[in-house]
Amino acid sequence: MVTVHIADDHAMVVELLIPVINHSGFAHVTGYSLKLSECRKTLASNLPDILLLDINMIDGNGIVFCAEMHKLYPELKIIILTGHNEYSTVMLMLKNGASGYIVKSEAVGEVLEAINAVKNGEIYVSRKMEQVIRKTTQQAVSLTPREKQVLQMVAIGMSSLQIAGQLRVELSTVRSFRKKLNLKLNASNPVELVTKARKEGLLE
Amino acid sequence: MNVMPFFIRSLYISLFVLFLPAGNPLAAPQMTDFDRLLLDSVLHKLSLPKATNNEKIGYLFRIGVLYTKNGHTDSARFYLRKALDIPGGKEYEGGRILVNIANAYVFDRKHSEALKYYLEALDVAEAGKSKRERSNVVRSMANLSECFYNISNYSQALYYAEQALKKYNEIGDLSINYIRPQIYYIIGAVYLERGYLELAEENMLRTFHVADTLYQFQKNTGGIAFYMSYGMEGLAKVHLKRKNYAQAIECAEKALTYAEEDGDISVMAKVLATLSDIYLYKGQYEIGEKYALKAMKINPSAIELNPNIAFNIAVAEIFAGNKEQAYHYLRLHSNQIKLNTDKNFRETMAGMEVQYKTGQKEMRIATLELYIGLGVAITVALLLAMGLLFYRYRLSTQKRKITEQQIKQLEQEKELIATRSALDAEKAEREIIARDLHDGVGAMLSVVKNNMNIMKSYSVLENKEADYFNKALDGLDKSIVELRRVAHHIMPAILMEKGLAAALDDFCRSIPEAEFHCPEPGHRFDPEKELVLYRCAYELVSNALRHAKATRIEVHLNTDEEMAYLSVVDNGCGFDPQTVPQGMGIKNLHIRLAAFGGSIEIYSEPGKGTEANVELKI
Repeated sequence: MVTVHIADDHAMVVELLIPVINHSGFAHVTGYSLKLSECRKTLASNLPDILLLDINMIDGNGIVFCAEMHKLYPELKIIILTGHNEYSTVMLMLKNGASGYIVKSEAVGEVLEAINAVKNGEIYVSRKMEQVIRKTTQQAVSLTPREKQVLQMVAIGMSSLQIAGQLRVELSTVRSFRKKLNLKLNASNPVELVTKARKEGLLE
Repeated sequence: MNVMPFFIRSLYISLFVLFLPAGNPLAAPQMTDFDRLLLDSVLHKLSLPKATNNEKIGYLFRIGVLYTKNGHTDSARFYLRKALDIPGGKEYEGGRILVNIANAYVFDRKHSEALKYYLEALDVAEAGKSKRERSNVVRSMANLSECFYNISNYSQALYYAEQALKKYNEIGDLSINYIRPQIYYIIGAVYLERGYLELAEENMLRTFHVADTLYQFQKNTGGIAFYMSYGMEGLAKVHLKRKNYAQAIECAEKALTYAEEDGDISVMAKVLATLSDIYLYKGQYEIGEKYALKAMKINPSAIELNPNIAFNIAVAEIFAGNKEQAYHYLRLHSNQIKLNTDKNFRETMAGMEVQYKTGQKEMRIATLELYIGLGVAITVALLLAMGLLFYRYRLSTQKRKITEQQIKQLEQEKELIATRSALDAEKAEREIIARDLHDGVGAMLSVVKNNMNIMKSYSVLENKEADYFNKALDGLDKSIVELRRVAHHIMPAILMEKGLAAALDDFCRSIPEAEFHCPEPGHRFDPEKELVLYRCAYELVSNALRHAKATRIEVHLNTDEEMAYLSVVDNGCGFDPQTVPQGMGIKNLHIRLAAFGGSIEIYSEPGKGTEANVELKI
C-alpha cells in the first residue's frame, strides 16, 4: 500500500480526495495538513511515500517548499496539485524536484493515475498540460507582413521618405520599422540588412 | 445697434494713430523681356475695336496677371478692376479676377486688404454654378486660409484649409491639383504653431509628397518645387522642435536644394534662416551665423519675415567675443521685432474687422438681442486681444517661448504622474483580485466539479437528465478554465518573477492559436513597462480571437538596450481602420502606452488580417 500525505489549505479539497484515494485499493491517506508548517512537522516524524502538494498555501509558497522537501527527503515523491496551468510553473516545479503535476480542474481520477505512475518512478503531467508543454517558442528570425514589405522596399533601394510615401505612414514609423529590422537581423546598415535577409531566405 | 460699429471704428482709428502704416516694402522690379512682349501683344488686342466684352475681360485679366507676376501690383489692380467694371465682368470671370486682385495685395503683404477680396471672390464663386466657378471656390478658400495664417489667425486658417480640401475632393478638378500642397502646408504650419508635432509632420510630409508627385508629371509647371521646398522646410522645423538636429539638417538641406531649383529668393532665404536656427540650437554658432548671413545676402528683406536671422548672428558674435557686432545685430533684431509686432497687431485687428463683417453678413436673420450679444462678445474679444498683444509685445519672443515650453512641460509631467499613480494603484488592486479569484473562487469551483463527477459515477440518471447533467458539468469546466485565465491575466505572477518574455511565453502556450516569436528572453526592465506591454499583448490577442476570429496569431517580442518592440499579427477577418471606431480596449492601450512614452500602430484591411506594432523606450 502506498502512503499519501495531502497538503492543501482548502479543507473541501482534502475531504474530496481522501475517500477517492482510500477507495483506490493501492493507496492510503496517512494524514493531511492545511498549512505548510504543519506539513513540515508531520513529514519529519512520519514520512509518506507520496506528498500531494498545493502551490498557493495560506502560510507560504509550495514552490520553495517543494525544493526544500526534495532536498531533505530525496526518496519522497512529490505530486503538485494546483490551479496553475502555466507552462513556466510546470517547468519550475519539475525542476524543483516534483515528480507529478496535476491541474485541479482535471477529474479526480487523474490523482490515482499520477500516484500509480510516480510510484513506478515515472514523471506524470496532466493531459491538459501536454499541448502546452509540446508547443515551442520560435527563436528563428521571423518578420511580420509589414516588416517584410519594408524590407523589400529597402532591398530595392528606396529611401525612408519614399517608403513612407508608398505605405502612407509617417516617416517616424518607417524609421522604427527599419530599426526593428536591424535589430531582428542583427544588422547595422541597409547593406548588411539586405545581405543577412537574403541569407535567411527572407528576400527572393 | 449703432453702438458696436462706433466702438470698433474708434478702436480702429486709435490704432492708426498709435502706429504708422508701413509702405510697400518691395520696389517694383523690372519686367522680363518675354513678359513685356506678351503684355504688348495683349494690350494691342485690347485696343482692337471688334473685341467683344468677354474677350476684353479675358485680355484685361491676362494683363493683370502679368503685372502681378512681375511685381507691378498697382497696375495689376488697375487692370483687374477695369475688367470687373465691364458689363457682365463679374458674372463671367468675377471669381478669378477678385482672386487675382487679392493676390496682388498678398504680394504687397497687405493681407487684410487681400482678405476682403478673397471673401468677395468666395461669395461670387459660391453663387456660380459652372465647374470653373466651383474650382474658384477651392482656390479662394486656399488663399483665404493662407491669408489668415499670415495674420496669425490660425483657427480661421485651419477652417478654410479644411474646407478647401473638402471642396477639392468634392469637385475633383485635376487642373487645380497644384492647390493641394498649398493647403497641406498651411495645415502643417498651423499644427506646428500649436505644437501638434505629429500632425504637423504628417501634413508637411503630405505637402512634400503631393508636390513631388505633381512635379514628376508636370515638370514645366512653375511653383511646384517651391512647395517641395516648403514641405521639407516644415519637416525640418518639426525635427528642430523635437531636437532631432541631424534629421532637421537633412530636411533643411533638401529644402534648400528644391528652393534653389525653384529660384525663389524669398523661399531660399526662409530655408537658410531655418538652417541657421538649427545650427544655433545645436550650439554650432559659427555655422549658424554663416547661414544667417547668407540668407540676408540672398534676400535683404528676409529679416522682415524672420527677425531671428539677426538674433542668430548676434548670438554667434557674442560667442565670438565681438561685442560691437553683437550689439548692432541685437538692435536690428529688437527693432524688427517691434516693427513686426506693431504690424501683427494692426493686421490682427484688421483681420478681426473682416471677421466681424463676415459675421454681420451671416447674422442678417438674427434677432436684435442676438446681435447685441455678438457685439459684446466681439468687444470683449477685441479688448482681450489688445491686452494680450501688449503683453506679447512686452515679453521678448525668446523669453515667451521658454516660459510656454516650461508650462507645457510641467503640465505634461503632471499628467504623466497622475496616470502612473493611477496605474500603480490599479496594479496593487489587480494583485489582490487575481489572488482572490484564483485561490478562492477557482479552488471552490474545482471542488464542486469534482463532487459532481463523483455524483455522476454513483447515481443512476435517466438519459435526458444525464444530458443536462453533462451540459452543466461541461459549463462548469469551461467557467473554471475561463476564471483561471482571467485571474492569471489580471496580474500574472510570472511577469513579476521572470519578466515579460517568460510571461508572454506562458500566455501564448495557453492559447492554441497563438505562437510566440522571441529570439532571446532579453534582459528585464521596468516592471511597470513590462506590465504595460503584457496588457497590450493580452488585449491584442483577445481581440484577434474574439473579434477577428483568427485561427493563427503570432506574437513577436524583440528588445535591445533601448527599446522593446511587440507585434501581434493575426490571420483574422481584419477591419477598415477608417470606418471602424477604436474600442475601449485599444483606447486604454493608447493611454497606458502614452503614460510611458510608448506608441501603438495598427494596420488592417478587411479580409487581410491585422498587424499591431507596439514600441516602448525601456
